[in-house]
Amino acid sequence: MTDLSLIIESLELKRNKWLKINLLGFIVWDGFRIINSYFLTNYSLPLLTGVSLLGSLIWMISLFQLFKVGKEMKNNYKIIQIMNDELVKMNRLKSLTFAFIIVLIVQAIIIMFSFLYNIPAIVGAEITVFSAVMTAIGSFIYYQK
Amino acid sequence: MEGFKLLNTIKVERAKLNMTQADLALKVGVSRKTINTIETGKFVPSTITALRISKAFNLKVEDIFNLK
Repeated sequence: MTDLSLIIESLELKRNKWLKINLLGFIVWDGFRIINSYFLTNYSLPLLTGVSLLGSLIWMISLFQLFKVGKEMKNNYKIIQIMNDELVKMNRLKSLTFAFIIVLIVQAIIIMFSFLYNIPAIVGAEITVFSAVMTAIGSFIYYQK
Repeated sequence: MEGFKLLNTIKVERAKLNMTQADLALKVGVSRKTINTIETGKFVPSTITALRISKAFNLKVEDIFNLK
């Protein structure tokens, strides 16, 4: 393999690794934040807040690392083209489509539950955004396997 | 296309030129994974990529790709 091939392989590995960590950080951060803020109505557990903060820290570090990967390929047009080729674009589109379907399903479930319970709009919105982001990143990682 | 399968001879042509998937990927301007998925028939390439692949082998596109 040539030097350029090795660089691309290593950048792809880095991108996939940091995307997985990013997803994990997001789930821990936003998931625990939603549970702590809206489902434990009368009290807030310091432990959950701590775990949520740890998740946000993981998410921020992974985001910084993903920007670093982007910066590494910034000046090389060929690497940018290969790292965003038609297979990657198709996988991106597929994951966004899947996330959109999940948004519709989550919204339908929330509407059904709203007949039985009093669900504030902000809770519905936060759960929907959480599901959409989680599905979009998760399915992209899956399609990229 | 429903009922049709896109076959290709990329692996054979690569072997003739002693070329790896990574070498072909660089020539075509896609990732090695993309070449692998095209070669194994999991992914149907765009017209541009199909033309670039055939150009990399100095062949016509129908010499590399055909419908079954």
